[in-house]
Amino acid sequence: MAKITQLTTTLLDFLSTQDKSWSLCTLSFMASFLVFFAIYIGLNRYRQPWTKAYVIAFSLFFAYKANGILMLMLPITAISSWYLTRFMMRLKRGKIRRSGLAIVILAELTPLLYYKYTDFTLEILHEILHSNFSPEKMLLPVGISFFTFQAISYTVDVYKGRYPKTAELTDYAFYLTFFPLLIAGPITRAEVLLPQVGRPREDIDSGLVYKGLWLIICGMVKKALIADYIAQYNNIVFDAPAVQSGFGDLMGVLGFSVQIYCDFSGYSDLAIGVAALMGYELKDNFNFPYQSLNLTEFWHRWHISLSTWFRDYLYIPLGGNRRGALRTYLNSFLAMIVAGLWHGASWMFVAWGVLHGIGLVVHKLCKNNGLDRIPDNTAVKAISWCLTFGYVTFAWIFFRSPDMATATTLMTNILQTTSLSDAYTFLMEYPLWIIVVLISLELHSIRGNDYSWLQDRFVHAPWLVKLGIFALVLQLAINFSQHSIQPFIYTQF
Amino acid sequence: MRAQIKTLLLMAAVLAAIVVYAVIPAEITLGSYTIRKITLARLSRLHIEQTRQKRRAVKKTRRNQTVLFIGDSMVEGLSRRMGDYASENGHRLYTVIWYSSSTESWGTTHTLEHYIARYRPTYVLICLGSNELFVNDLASRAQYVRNIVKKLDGIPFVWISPSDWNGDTGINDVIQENVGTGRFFDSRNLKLRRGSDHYHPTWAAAAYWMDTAARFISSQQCAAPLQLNRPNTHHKATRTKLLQPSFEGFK
Repeated sequence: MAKITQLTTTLLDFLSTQDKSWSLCTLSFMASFLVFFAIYIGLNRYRQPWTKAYVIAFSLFFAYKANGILMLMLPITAISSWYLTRFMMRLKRGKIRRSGLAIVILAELTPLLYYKYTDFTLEILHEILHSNFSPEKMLLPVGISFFTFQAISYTVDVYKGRYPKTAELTDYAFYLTFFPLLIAGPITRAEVLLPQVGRPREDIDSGLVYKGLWLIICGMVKKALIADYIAQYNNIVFDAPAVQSGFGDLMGVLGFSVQIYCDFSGYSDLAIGVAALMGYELKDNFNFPYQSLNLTEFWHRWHISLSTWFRDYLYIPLGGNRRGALRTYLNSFLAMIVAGLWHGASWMFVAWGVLHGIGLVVHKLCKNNGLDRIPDNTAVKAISWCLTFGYVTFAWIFFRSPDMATATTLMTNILQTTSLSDAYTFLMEYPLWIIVVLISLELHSIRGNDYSWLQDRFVHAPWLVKLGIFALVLQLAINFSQHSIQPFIYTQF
Repeated sequence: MRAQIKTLLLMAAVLAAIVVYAVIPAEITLGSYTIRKITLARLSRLHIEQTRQKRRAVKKTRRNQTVLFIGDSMVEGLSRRMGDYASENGHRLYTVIWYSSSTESWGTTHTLEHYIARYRPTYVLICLGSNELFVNDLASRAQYVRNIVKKLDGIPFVWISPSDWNGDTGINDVIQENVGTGRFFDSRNLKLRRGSDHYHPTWAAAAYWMDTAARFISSQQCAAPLQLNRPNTHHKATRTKLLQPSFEGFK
């Protein structure tokens, strides 16, 4: 009896308390998901209309676990965005509707601007006025940047006629609250997910489901085995760069490049994989970005859902490449600064955006002035890769450093004190760390066709093989896990 | 649908196996490699702990304290940084560095009582154990640690554990077990760059060590949180007493 009471208390406690480490990669989520998934399969088979409501309810529970009471932002945004978009479409075409669009976008953006940029604005005012107040740090609802951008894309797509205005509130709420996308995207367009919400789900492609399982395994390997492990050393470097040798700092910067890719693409794999298990097909968010030979290509491969969002809803409305070369450069530059600020209200993210803006402008400038005439041989490719990877890695210093002083200390230390003698010491002290980073980079260099072949082999493998691989990866994740799971980097944006 | 059911069963089977493995007492090893268990008990305790924490009142952060920082030669680097913290957070810092000292030196003499009577500290920081990383008489060391805690007579304190460079024979665990929850800062996971003697951390590494310890001391994890906001400039720790290795302690 006492055990039943204790079990009930633990269960109620679990259901009613916020969990700051809640994400797709925790065991508690996996256990909850299994219960959810079992009921989902049953409902989908016999009571299909209830499925939507059930998924929305679980998504809201997921949001509550991650956000606590701040999760209320999500249903409020969903209802207001849906209603305002409908209202906008009832307005007379032309100037009036255009004004309506501006008002709806502003309304959708307001919570994001308030939660994300109030502190930043107050700090700037504080600097300008030399006042002696210190603003209280505001809590940022997890995933607000992602669901806000989804809401805006829906409104704009409906306005432009790219997507019909007929979506029902339940379908729209499903789209905006869909739990795999909630914490860190990928930012999914209405045209991708909404048509699938209304489609009967009796005959789900088994290939899609097993691809989902494959992606979940890939996501766990990237996040739990690689990113979390190498983060331990990277955190030490970025906390106190002066403590390490120049070579140690250099390794920390290289490690962060690998960490952020594995962390974020790992999360995307998990999100797309979980959605695929449920029968929803989402677009890829990463396409081996560190294989890029220039910065433009990098942005076609890195965080694809964000870069295409900025392309469609900022770069093209600003004029894109239709208003001459100079305007194209300016638009690219502005889009990257906004992308930097989207990541966080800090001058460090602005600096990161500026660096990428400059890089894109320089690449476009060179491309317009004879870069394409250079022969496309192996040596040129190798140099291009080194330049691109080196530049992207350099920019990550500003992305990761808490302030400019840390970034400059880190760079000064690397430039002034790096010596090969430290390499030996480092190798002796962190052999496993180096092996993990090198293996990750090697795996990243896999050809697209080879990756598809591997995925195909897994999808068609016998059930027992899949079971063995899943069990092995999960156990390795447990064996490699640290005292606490590192939060996904992109959940803070 | 069949694929979904198969996948559900697959995931459930793996998760069940992991839970069963966590519950059974046996541990599977493959050569030197142990298959780790998930800690179910820790998870449920965590929930209860979280609930308790919510009910418990927030601990008061201490301001304007008289801090006594004692210990072995490791205190030299730490107190240099602690001086910055003390000056910018309104604390008065007294430092006593007894070179080559150990828990035995402080636990079997009246040196600590002497400095407590002299400076009347309201908070004590201790960094001891670096000279005992490879000792085998752990039972005696446990008694010395308990003696030191007794000598403090209720004054709030934090013990900054030695930062080992090549493991230890158990002194860290001994200290942790005998000082009580929230009074032990674990330095074992820190990788500190060492100076030319390959033993003491460089100034920068010691500052990083103190910064990390300060985060713990000022947090709610600490039994008696002390206000230690990160300092912006350097301030010299002037009230420092140096005791040579030959010093035998106050009897």
